[in-house]
Amino acid sequence: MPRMRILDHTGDTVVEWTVDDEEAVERAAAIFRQQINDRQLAFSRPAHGTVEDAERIFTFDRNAEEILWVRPIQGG
Amino acid sequence: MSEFEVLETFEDGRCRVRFIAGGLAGRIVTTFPTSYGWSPPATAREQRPRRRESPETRAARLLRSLLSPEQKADWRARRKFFVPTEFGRLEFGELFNIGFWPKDGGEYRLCVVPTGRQLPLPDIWTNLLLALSSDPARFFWVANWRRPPNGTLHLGPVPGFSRLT
Repeated sequence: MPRMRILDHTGDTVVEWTVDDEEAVERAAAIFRQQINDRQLAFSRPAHGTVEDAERIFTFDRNAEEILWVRPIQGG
Repeated sequence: MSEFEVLETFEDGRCRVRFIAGGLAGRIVTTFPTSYGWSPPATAREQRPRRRESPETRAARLLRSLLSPEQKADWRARRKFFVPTEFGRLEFGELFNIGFWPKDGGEYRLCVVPTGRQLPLPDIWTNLLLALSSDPARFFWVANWRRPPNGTLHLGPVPGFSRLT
């Protein structure tokens, strides 16, 4: 099942959908758009893929196996 | 030893019995023949839903899933791992003190963090790892840096990264 994992203080929040469930897909797509508007960074990776397999994405892909959301970085 | 009387016998071999002596005197129970195929109900521990993992545990599992076998082994052994980049090698594992060995020599200590609210520590490394993978130049542009062991902390960019590409 495709899913998004949004890193947060709980570890991550998971959003899942099935590709033929239009309502669930639209809900996930809306979260994707909101995250992009919040300037978060999205990476798509195949199941069990390492960072080498992760690819930065800018549009929602309903067929993505896993989308990881991380934050912009800054000097600490 | 307990004694009991049979109160009722069922067609399937079960019996309802009442203890008449011993510590269980007066208690009525149902007995099952060994052929009945009955198994005791799950214990409370087994029925209890799996305890929710801590944020740290979830974050550590996600980080491990992103690492190469060598990085994973390194992380397991010493909670640090090396990350090769086109500009040199980084060592993740110590917050506010990321090791950087540029290709042309030297050594720096960098401080780069994700923006926003607090994350479990392994998530910070996941965040930095992915951000670095997509835009390494930006990583060195935003990094605050110092020379080891006790150099003054400077605002980014790291020397040699004067322009954000």
